[in-house]
Amino acid sequence: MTREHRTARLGRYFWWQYHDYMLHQAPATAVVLAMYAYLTLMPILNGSMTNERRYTVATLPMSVVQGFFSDAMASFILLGTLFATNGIVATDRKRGFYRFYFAKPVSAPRFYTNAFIANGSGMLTVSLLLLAAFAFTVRPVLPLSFIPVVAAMYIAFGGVGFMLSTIWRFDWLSLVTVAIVSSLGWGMWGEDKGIRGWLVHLLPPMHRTAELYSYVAGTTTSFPWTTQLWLTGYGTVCFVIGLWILRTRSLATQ
Amino acid sequence: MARQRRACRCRRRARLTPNERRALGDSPFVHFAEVGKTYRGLRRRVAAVVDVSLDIQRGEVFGLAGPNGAGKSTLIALLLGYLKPTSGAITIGGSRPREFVERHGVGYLSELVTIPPRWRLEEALSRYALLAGVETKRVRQRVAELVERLGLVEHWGKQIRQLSKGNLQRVGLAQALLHDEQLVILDEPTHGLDPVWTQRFREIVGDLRHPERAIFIASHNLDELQRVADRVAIIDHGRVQRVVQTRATAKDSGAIPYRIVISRGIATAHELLPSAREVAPGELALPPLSVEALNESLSRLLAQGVLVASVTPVYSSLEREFREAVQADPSSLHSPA
Repeated sequence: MTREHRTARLGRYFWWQYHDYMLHQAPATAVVLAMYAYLTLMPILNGSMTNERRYTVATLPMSVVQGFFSDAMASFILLGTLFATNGIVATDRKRGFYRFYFAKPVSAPRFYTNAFIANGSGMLTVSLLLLAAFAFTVRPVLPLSFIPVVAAMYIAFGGVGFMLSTIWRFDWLSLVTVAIVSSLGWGMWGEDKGIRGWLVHLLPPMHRTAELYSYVAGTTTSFPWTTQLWLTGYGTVCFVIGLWILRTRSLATQ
Repeated sequence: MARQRRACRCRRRARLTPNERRALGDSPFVHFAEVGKTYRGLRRRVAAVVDVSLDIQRGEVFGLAGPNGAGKSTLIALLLGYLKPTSGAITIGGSRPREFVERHGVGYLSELVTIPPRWRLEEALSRYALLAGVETKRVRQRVAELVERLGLVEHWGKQIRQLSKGNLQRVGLAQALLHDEQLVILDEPTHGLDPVWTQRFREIVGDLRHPERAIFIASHNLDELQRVADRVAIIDHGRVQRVVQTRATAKDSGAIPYRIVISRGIATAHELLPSAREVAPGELALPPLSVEALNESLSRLLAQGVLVASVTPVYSSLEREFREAVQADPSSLHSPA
């Protein structure tokens, strides 16, 4: 027995966390997105959305494909991040799993940063698989900006989800609420010069995400750097606040 | 260089305030200095731990006993740094609990063994071994050793949710023993274990004894604590009511009642011990006696050819102390386990 410091082998543990994501969240993300794709594409293919004009996947106009890709990406990122960060901290607290984790030489902020990165890596893996499936079944599109945008959006939404998960157990509900309130708030008071306009600036810039997806889908040509930086900056700040909460708040509720 | 900087940062974080240093003085390995914890709700405040001061030395097995809701689990959560005290300070090896745990780790078995139910036994222990800092190449070997030692070989590939309460308890114990820790904290360690594994547990605690290690055991089982602990703190209503030296207690236990089972000569025993009453065929209940008086009575019986099969105290001396501390009637106790 020694009195020397030692640390957990989080590098190796990362693969367990990645394995957990791929086993539990990844299938759910893929299934939900497949259902979304089916429900969105079928009305276009059978003509109920296109004045009775029927299409096959091969005959779909490029503009329809781009619109579908952009919408599917938006849904994938929101739902994928929701699944990836749902309960990331709160479940361990609620179910008591933290007791054995944090009796080991590991700090909660380091452990959950590892989990956040592992889940993000898992989500990127799933996004690549889905992109490959899209390229194989719909159109052979492989935009270079796809991975950086998915990663940035994971940080943006995931950072908020992570912070909410450190605060209370209803993190998924809060994240959906934040997304809806932000979209509505920015739409209604984004241009307001008064107090409401200021308050809206505290919310994530959800109204700007469509710019990024359109660029990836190829409908716009200039990359919206400010939007990308705003979103990732917002998510990073939320993530750091989450780490601070983990460091300062008691791990046990009672 | 980077390692040195990290070490400096750790030392800065672990540094105590001047008030805490004054309160602590020269600390032993684990030190509770007037520790209090109050839970604040919207409507009421509950003082779970009140002014607890305790010292635990390296090499010691320290027990914690108390009725339900006495504050044992809160005290353990404070010791692990899972909760922060409302008043007072706790140090382990001179550092605050969280700093100590994050730098050295502790062997901890919680009262409720909470492991994700879908994990397989071997997977669960391998994961905890990585978190405990076991060398990656030694993980499999260490897990196999513990699985063997705790009789879990037949459950190797099972999911945690498929294990019985007793087996789950053994998995919890196994994960606490993955690394050679300086501090081992066991909360109700024999809960759910059968008599064979309860006995094995005592042997494991015996093996864990080490001059560099402190072992902290919270239990309802006073007989267990009397057997394995050097000292036992009795806690009630969040306060330490008394700290009992178990070895001294066994020697100077005062007058306690006994039961004697007689194999031959029950009539003679009746004559020699008129104050005893027969509670079952061949079994006599003796009134409270000192150890000296008990031995004198036994000598008289043996001298007259009475064959004594067993002598059992009706309650252990620690149980008596416990009852006194929590103000219950010791005569209402049942036979020890």
